[in-house]
Amino acid sequence: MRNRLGVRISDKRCETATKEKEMSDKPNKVLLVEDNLEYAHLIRAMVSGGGTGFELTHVERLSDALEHLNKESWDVVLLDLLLPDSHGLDTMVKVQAQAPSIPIVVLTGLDDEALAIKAMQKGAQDYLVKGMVDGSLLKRSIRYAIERKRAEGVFKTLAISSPIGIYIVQDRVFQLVSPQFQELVGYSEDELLDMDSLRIVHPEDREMVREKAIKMLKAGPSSPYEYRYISKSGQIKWVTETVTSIQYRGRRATLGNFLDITERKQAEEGLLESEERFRSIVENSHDGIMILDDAHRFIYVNDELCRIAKYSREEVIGQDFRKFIDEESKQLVAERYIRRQRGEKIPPRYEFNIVCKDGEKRRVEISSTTIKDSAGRVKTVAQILDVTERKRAEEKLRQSEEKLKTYLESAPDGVYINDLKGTFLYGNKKAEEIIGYRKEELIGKNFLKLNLLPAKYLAKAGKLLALNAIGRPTGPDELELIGKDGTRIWVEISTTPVKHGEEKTEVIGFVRDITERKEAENALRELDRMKSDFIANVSHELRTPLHSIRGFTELMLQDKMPEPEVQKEFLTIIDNQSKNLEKLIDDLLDASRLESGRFKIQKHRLLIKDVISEVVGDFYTIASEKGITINTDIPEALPEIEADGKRLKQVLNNLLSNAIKFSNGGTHVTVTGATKDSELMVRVTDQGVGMPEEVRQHLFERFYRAKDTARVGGTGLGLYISKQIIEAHGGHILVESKVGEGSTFSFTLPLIKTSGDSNE
Amino acid sequence: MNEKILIVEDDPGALRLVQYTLEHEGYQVLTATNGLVGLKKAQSEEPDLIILDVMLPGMDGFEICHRLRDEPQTAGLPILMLSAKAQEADKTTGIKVGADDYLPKPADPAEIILRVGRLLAQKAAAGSKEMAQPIIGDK
Repeated sequence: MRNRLGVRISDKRCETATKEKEMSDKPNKVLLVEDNLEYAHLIRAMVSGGGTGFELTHVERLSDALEHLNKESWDVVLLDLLLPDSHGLDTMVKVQAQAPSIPIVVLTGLDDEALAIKAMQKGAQDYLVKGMVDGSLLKRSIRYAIERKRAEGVFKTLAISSPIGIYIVQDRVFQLVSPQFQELVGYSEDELLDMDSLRIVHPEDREMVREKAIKMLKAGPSSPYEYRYISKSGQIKWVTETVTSIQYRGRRATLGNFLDITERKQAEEGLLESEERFRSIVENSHDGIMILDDAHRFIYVNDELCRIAKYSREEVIGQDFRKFIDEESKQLVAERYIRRQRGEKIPPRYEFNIVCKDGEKRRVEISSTTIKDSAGRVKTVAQILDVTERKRAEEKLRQSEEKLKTYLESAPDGVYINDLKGTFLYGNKKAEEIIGYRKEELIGKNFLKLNLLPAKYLAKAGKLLALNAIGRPTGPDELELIGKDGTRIWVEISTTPVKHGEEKTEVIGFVRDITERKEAENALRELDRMKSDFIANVSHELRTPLHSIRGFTELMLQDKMPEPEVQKEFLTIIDNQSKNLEKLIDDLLDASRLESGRFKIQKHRLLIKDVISEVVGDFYTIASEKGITINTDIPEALPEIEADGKRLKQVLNNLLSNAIKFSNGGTHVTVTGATKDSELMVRVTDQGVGMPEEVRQHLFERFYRAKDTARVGGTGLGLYISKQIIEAHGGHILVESKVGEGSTFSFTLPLIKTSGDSNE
Repeated sequence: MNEKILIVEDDPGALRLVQYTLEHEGYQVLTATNGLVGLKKAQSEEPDLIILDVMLPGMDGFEICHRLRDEPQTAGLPILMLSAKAQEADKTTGIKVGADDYLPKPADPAEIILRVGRLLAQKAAAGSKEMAQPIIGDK
């Protein structure tokens, strides 16, 4: 075991030679290198004796030997170390250099054990001392040398071609290292040979490796074991190794199979490490985490998920995940599952309800992904966040917002919000009602674009917004709006700017529909005007007859009219004017009765033509004095009616007096009567000044007197009273008129309903 | 005397009263019961003075007054408005549209005679002057 044998195994020619020899049964070619001719003869005799297959060629000098080796192939070299041109081991080295694959048997006269050992170590197959060699020994030695060399060649081939690093250690140092081994450890062959084999082993593993080696020597081949080695560059690497005891160069040696497993080790360690890392993340996650198998069963749940669901891990693992969700959610989850199966893209995040162990339902948000394990089975990994509280808070907020909105929506006044440019952001129900625009028509639109304000208020609106912009509330301001349908709406608006952060200011506005109030105010004002007009007119109407009465009375008192007929004329005028005064006062009283609801009619049967004749007769003088002709067209056959004759006279008086009042001389006033359907109709037509539409509209209103024609006199009560009288009879009164052409007033009265003859 | 006075009045009683009163004083009296006739007579008859009622059918007294003042021929004609519209505003309107005097109804015949006499005297005093100076008499 203490001998050192250096063997080089990297020569290709070695393989080739060996193979060739194996193929044939030719005699072994022996090259004898010997300067002693006598001894050469002896050798020749030794090998050829017995006739067995040696073909010996003899050369005397090293140079000749090298030449032969170069020229042809040999099976073995018998080499004397002392030659004329070379001495000692150097001779052998030179031969080896020339033909490394050819076994060398040293044949020398020097019986020097140290030299012999050296020669063996340098690769000689055998060391024979001259004089101690006989024929059979020599032949055997030659054959062994050839065999050994051949075996070595096979081993070398194996070693070179193996992906596993192979080495042989003898006497604790490397004797043989395969190229793969060299590559793994990073040392060259030269560096490795003679190196202590434990030097490449990690210091911590050396003891273990040594023990394995000893055990192997004692108990035979070991099972593979792993240890760390250190490459030349200092890297710590992993190896799995088996060692076998072999005979090498005649002595016991250790054959090592050296398989690097660094990558596998790193992968294993990395996996272990990353798994640990991830497990710790998953375990400590604030989200619930679960892994389901392809049948929706829990494979894994983390603590947080257990905490959320209040189940222990043991209660859950292996159970169907769907057992823990409520009915409504089952459907949702199933739908998602189907959609995912169809390959639809579905949002990774969704919400559903889980049922906890105590029956409580909790809202969770899940985001899941599917993975395939190494066996191709689909697993679902899902992250679950308990959003119950968040949902509750959201719901509460939503409810409170809803509540606030309801309050706003049910506010009795319009409430709206706009920005500082006047663009609407909100409008409540009442605001919608007031202006007639629905929310969606309002929101996002500017009041200018909506044409909400009449032009005369635009400047004011700008001023209000400017005040809002500097943080000032406004109002209440009264202004008109234009509704969606074009109607004008009187509103009272107050606004308050509300700051949201530094930049944004919104304005909340309160709008109250004051149209009714405004209209009432206007109506009141109009009524006021009418009343004061009425008083002026009444006083005028009172003064006119009074003027005559007083004037004539004065004249008579002063005796300025002695003629009796003149006196009579004047007294008649005084009488007439007194009657006018009386009529006026009657009108006033009638109006007052109508106001208080005490107006009564007393019906009795009468002929309308009698009433008409009487009234026309009363006006005959007055009309003729103005040059106006009164015509009547009343058919004799007009039936009786039931009416209040006194009141009808009052109506006709009114109509005729108006007709005459608004007519000029030379014109006609015509009174006609007729029946139509079940009614009697009386018409009073004049050719007077007529009146425009706006006058006609208000003609029958109490105290109404057309502004432009108000100079004509009258109380403004006549037509009002007339209308009331006719309507109290169940008829109606109306007017047609054209400016400059005259007017026609007509009224109807119901006929008495007798057996079908009421139509004529 | 014998000045010609035109009365525009639609109320027969009032017309008769003023007519009789003035005729009794010796004036020559012309009458019209509406504005159009009144304007026409003011042109054709060349009266020395006009008495205008206010509340007339069609054209009212203010309008007639205004038109008379617009016509060169009648621009200087003395106008007395005699009206039952007795409010101060009516009087102001009358003066504004060019009336020389405004007398509310009911008016004494003597008052009417006085006012007419005063206006005619003013006109005479103005003599060849183009226009009479408006005066506002009190009751």
